[in-house]
Amino acid sequence: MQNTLIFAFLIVIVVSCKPQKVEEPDMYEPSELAMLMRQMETENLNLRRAILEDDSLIYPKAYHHLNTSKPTQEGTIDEDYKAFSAAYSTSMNNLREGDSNIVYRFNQGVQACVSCHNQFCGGPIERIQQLFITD
Amino acid sequence: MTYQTSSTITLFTICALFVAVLTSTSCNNPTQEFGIFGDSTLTEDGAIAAAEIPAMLVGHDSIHVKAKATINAVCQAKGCWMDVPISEDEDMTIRFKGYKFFVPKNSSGREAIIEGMAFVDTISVADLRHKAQDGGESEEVIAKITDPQVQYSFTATGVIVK
Repeated sequence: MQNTLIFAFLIVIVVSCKPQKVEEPDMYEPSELAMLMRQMETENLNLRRAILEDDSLIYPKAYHHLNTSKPTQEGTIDEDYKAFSAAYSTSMNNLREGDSNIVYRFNQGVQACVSCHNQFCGGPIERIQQLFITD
Repeated sequence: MTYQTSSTITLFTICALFVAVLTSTSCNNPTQEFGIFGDSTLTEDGAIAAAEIPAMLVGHDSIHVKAKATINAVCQAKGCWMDVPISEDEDMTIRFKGYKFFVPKNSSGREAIIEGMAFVDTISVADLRHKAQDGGESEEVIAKITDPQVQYSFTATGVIVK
């Protein structure tokens, strides 16, 4: 009888102490396109520094994948998006081809990013605007 | 049944109930804090109720403030904004400084401590539609957004989600 009671007592403890599921934070996992844009930011910061310091220019490369990287939300890469992407590419191509107005072309590329984000996702605009060369 | 057996069973029942109550309060922790996002030095100390912000903004373009409120909605795409109520029928939208951190997408209903700049902003139709899309609104609701909106906004340097 006593053994049965001890066994039952242990069962009560185990059942009462059954761990409940704790809600885990559901954090955003950056998409391919989000990661690409972070890479573009780094490349543009390096290019900006090189322009300001009259250093040799390291041309961005990541933008070549702007139309093929997987976005956070399906349907983002539409005709409007591709137009902004093309505008950015044109600015960078002109820079690479030795356009004499480097600052103008660089800022034109940054403006293409701002315009695109105005239409698709305004969140990073403040951060992108810091890339403009205003001096 | 003997008197001894009966009293043992009674004692067992009391002990079992005691253990059940004790463990139900000590073993379960389903409302664990989500943590601090952004400025890791942020504490709860000195946080005012977010509902006080509109009165504090009178006569100012912006104010630096630490406030607390229950989260009403969170961006379901990235967790890049969240809404908290500042009156019975008005929300304030919180974004995160420099787009450098996000909050968990399942933070709705939890209490938040926020620190940063509060201000009144005019939100464009494009931004309102994008926000509605991120918030999971239907195409029909999004299509009805046709005018810019003046609303309370907040740029947070740090957020605690409880």
